[in-house]
This record gives sequence, structure tokens and C-alpha cells, in this order.
Amino acid sequence: MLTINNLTKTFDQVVAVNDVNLQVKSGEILGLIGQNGAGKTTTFRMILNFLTPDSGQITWKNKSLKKVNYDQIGYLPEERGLYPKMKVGEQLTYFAKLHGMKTAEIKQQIPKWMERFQVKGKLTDKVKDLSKGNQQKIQLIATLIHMPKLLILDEPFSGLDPVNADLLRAGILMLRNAGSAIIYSSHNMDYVEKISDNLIMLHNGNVVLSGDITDIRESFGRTKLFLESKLTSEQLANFPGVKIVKQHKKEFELTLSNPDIGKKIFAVATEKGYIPEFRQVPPSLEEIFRLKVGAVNE
Amino acid sequence: MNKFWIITKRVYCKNLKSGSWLFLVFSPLILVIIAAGIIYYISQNNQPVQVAVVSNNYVVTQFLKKSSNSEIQYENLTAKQANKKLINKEITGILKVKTKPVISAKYVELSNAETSLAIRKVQATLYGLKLNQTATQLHLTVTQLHSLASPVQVKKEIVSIENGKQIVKSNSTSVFNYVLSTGLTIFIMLIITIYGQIVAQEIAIEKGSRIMEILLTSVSATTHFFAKLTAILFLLITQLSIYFVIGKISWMWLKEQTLVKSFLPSVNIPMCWSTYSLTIILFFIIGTMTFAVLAALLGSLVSNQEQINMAVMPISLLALAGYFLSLMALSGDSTLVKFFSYIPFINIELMPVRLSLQHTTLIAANISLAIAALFLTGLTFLATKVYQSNILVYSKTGLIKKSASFFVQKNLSN
Repeated sequence: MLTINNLTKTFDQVVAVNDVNLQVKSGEILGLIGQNGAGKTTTFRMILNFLTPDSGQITWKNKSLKKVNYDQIGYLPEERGLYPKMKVGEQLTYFAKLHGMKTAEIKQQIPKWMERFQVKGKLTDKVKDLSKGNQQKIQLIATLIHMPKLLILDEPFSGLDPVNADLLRAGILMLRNAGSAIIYSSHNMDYVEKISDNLIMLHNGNVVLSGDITDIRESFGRTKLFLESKLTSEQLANFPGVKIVKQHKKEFELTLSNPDIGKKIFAVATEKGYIPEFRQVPPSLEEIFRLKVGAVNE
Repeated sequence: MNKFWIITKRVYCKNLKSGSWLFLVFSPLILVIIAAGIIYYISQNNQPVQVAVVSNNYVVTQFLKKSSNSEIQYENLTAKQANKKLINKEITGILKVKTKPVISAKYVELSNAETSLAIRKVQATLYGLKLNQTATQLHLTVTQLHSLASPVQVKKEIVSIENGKQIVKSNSTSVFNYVLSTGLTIFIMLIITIYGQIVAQEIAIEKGSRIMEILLTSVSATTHFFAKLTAILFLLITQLSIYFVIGKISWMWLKEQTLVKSFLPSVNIPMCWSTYSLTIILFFIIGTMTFAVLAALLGSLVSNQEQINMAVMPISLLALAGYFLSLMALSGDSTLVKFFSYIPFINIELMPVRLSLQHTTLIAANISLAIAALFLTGLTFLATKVYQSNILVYSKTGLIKKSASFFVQKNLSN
């Protein structure tokens, strides 16, 4: 288990990370979200021992990370980097060896990972000759091939198309199922929601939200209502307790001041019988993110 | 294989196949082969200069004809015959000699002749003739003439001081030492600059492309730093071994060559294979490693590859300073040269040159070598600290400010 207690880091007079606490258990995925400059990469760099915290402790399985075997760690930096003139096979072998894998094991694993990520290219191709997407897949394989027990991914989905992002998601979930503790950052709230068990939202180095994603969303109440009925936009806007009405073709998206308003709208909408859609949900992560960031900025 | 050796092997193998290293290793050999080829070609095609002598004086024409040798062939012709031969390019030039009122001559040579006449040789020959003529007029005996004409003898001896005694060196040894030292001067500068460039570039590329971040999640910055330097040391040893093997093979052929055979007895060969050469090799190794460590330090300060040329500037400047002082050493052993042959960075270029010129003693060279080794140790320690604190720092701060920043802020722990 990765445990961070009261982690603080300042650069000159700027507080990059302020009193951050978090835990990632084995077989668990923690998503770290926040605007640019929120402190996500700084947190990762402190976990990886690239930066020394001003205060606070970082432990892995109750031991200081400084004493942890590097072979247990996998890291994907935000800005990707590979040796452009090195062949794909040599590159993967080099990074795998640096993470303690034996040659025979590497030879066995490389084709499997190339297949899993559907890399279009040969092991004898130079990295620079691959497409950008395939280069990114090679980078991911280099990060995951040694099946790290602690996996740190900085913006892993950036630059990936939806198909490749799904491949990466499957890879991350595979490692989670194998018992890895995974911590990653992303701007893509959709992916964060789909694969994270827990979430931490950072703003200007401070934790503004943390916990289980479902619990976080539920804590904001079911104030979003998606409705398809014979009620008009005007009728809905005039309904007491409806703050915002948005129309998406036949569907209306309402923002309610109170979840109980939903019951009243349901009663009115079903007065004349069957309606194709009535869905009352908590705000999305993106809305919560905007809400929180906006509130703090104010 | 542990991680240190994994990195060492990769850096070594990668550079072994790189163009810059292969150029560094083979360019001096190619230059030597080209120079040897030119010398061989010239020696094989050394035809005598064909000179037509046009003179009405029988004594003059006969005297010149008799003084023909392997370099100049005199032929007595009429002015018409000589001009025809010159037009047909059958001769190199025409020497017209007058005997009255005194012996004087005019020499006309083809501008595009294969060989050229050294005018002083004709002058010397005609001077001999003139001397004979004058001696006859003055009724001088042969002994009187020799006594009058023989120049003052000045004998030059080159000595070096070894164990407080003057040891006479042959002139050929001095020439050999001079050639060796000139070669060393250029070669040392080339080697330290290119190895420095290789190291700085290696580090800047890994840092600039963020590969360093991935590497440092698998090994410590210190391991990475020393693995790279070890690879550079192995590259240098490989280079010297290649020279040793090629030198050994070439020597087996060279020593049988007539030219070398005639040159060998006058050269102090044991000097080449003694502690002198070992000291020079050690200077090579310590010198290259000193510049490699400096390059690693400077390479760790850059944020991207574009800054690398600016970062390696101190290496080029130091190497140039050493180079110019070595050139000064070739022309004489001044106080400035003596002083700088103990100053770190400069001494590793300057002292081997002074040693091969035999301007200094082996003891002095070893003192300088000890200074270089101590300095290398200190510099390595400092560079490790700077490397640890800067290798993952990407900022727009100037390089000098950044290099100093590790004293006040140590971000990266080992």
C-alpha cells in the first residue's frame, strides 16, 4: 500500500503541494485530477524520489520509498521519451532489464504485449519510424512489461485515440487485477470515472475532494435530470426549483436546486401516460470539477 | 548483469557504432596513411631536374656537366637546341652562364615543371667554379684555397637532463620528438573535445527527451552517472587498444622498410616504449575522463538539446587554451608553459607534449599526473552532486546560475 501523509512542497515562495494525504491499496486505482499546475506531477515526482518534500512522509508497504526496490515501480512521464534511433525490441529489452527482468522472460513477454496493444510495427523497426500512436504504445509497454507493483501514470490517455485509450484502459485494469497499486492523473473525466476506484482532486496544491467516486458524486445529490416527455422547454423552465434547462433534440437536461423536485416533475410528466426517458443522476465528475475549481477561484 | 553494467554496455555499444567515435578513431590513422602515401609517391617519383647549360666557355660547361648528380642533370646545348627542348618540355629549365667580366648566370624554368631547381644549389656549384678561377688568377695553392674557403664549424648538440646529467640526443631524435609532440598536441585536443561532446550529448538527449525520468525510476542518478563514465572509459581503452594493435602490426612491416631502417639507428627508440609512453597514456586516460566528467556536469544543466552547444563551450575553450600553450611549448619552454603544465585541465594537454619534447623530467610529469588524478577525483565528486540535483530540473535559468543552485537547493535525492 502506498501511503502519503501531510506531503508539502514549495518552490521558492510558491506552494506546489500543500498537506496532501492519500492511500492507494494493492489492486486499487486512484485517479488524480486537477488543472494544469495543480500539483499532480509534483506529487508523482516526490513519490518517485525525484523531488524531496519539504515535509511529510511517503511509504510503500510501510517502508520509506527511498529503500524500496526500483524494480517494483513503473512510471509513465507526462512528456514521453524513447531513444528514436533504437530498435523497438532493443528498447523494450533495455528498459525491462533495467527493471530487473531476465532476458528469457523478456523475449517471452514482448510479443504478448505487442499483441495486447496491437502495435503496428516490427521489433526490428527503429522507434522513429513508427507512427506517434505506436510510439506511445511502445512507451506504455516499456512502463508495464515488468508488471510493477506500484504503477504511476502521468496523463496516460493524452494523445491516444478512443480505440487505443480503451487498449490502455484494459492494460491498466489487467495490472490492477494482478494486484498492482495504480495512481494516475488525467484531464479526461470520462476515463477517470470509468476506471478509478478512488479519486483525489487537487487545486493549487490543495486537496479539494477525495474518496470513492460514487460516494463523491452522490454527496452532491441527484440534481441532474434527463427527461423526454411532452412537457415543453417553457413549462420546465417555469417549474419551481429548476435552475437550468438545456435541450438536446428531444431530450431536456435540467439542473435542479433540490433532488426532491425530481419527484414533482416526474408526477407532472407522467400525468398523460408513458414517457421514453426519466433519469435523475448526481452531477458528472466534470461538473463537480468545474464547480469545485470555480468555487475555490471565487 | 546488474543495472550499472546494463547501462554501461548500452552506452558503450551505441557509441562504438556511432559516426563521431569511428571518425575519432580512424581519422588519425587515415591521415597517417595519406601522409605516408604522399611521401612514398614523392620518393618514388623523384626525377632529377633536367637543366640545359648554354655557355661559350668550355670549362664552365664541362665543370657543370661533371657536377651532375641524382638531383640535377646538366646538359650542354646551344641556345637554339635548349629553347626547342624547353618548348617540347623535355627539360626543366635553361641556365645561361656568362664568364665575363665575372661569372654570372640567368636561369629560366618552366612554370609547370614536375620538379623545380633549388637555385642555391646552382649558386653553390658556380661559386665553386668562381673560387677555382679566382684562385688560379691569384696563384693560390689548393691548401691555401681550402683554408680560405672552408666555413667555420659550429656543431649543435641536443641534450636532455636526466638524473642531473646531460644526456646527448641525436638530431634525428629531436626531429622525431618534435613530430611526435605536434601529433600529440592535435590528437589530445581532438580526443578530449570529441569525448566531451559525446558525453554531454548523451546526457542532454536523455534529459531533453525525458528518457532520463524513466531511467531514474529504475536506477539511481549516481549509478547512471558512473555507468556512463565507465562506458566512456571503455571506449577510450578500446581506441588505444586499436592503435596498439594496428601500430604493432604496422611496425612489423615498417621496420623492414629501407627509409625506416636508415632512420631507426638515430632515434632513441627505448624512450618510446618506456615509462615515458606509459605516463603519456595515463595523461590521455585521466585527461579524457576529466573532460568527460566536466561534460557530464555541463550536460546535466541543460534543459534541452538546443542548449548543448552553449553548455560544452567551456570544454572547447579549455581544450583550445591547452592546445595553444602546447604549440607554445613546441617553440620553447617558457615560464608560462612551465606554470600551466601543473594547472588542472591544461596540464593534461601540455605536460605530455613537454615530456615528449624532453623539456621536462619524468618526476615533474608524474607530479603533474598526480595533480590531474587528484583533481579528477574532486571534480567527479562535485559533478556527481551537481548531476543528482540538476538532472531532472528543467528551468529557463542560465546555466551558470543553475550550476551554482545545487549548493543552496538539493532537490533530487540519491
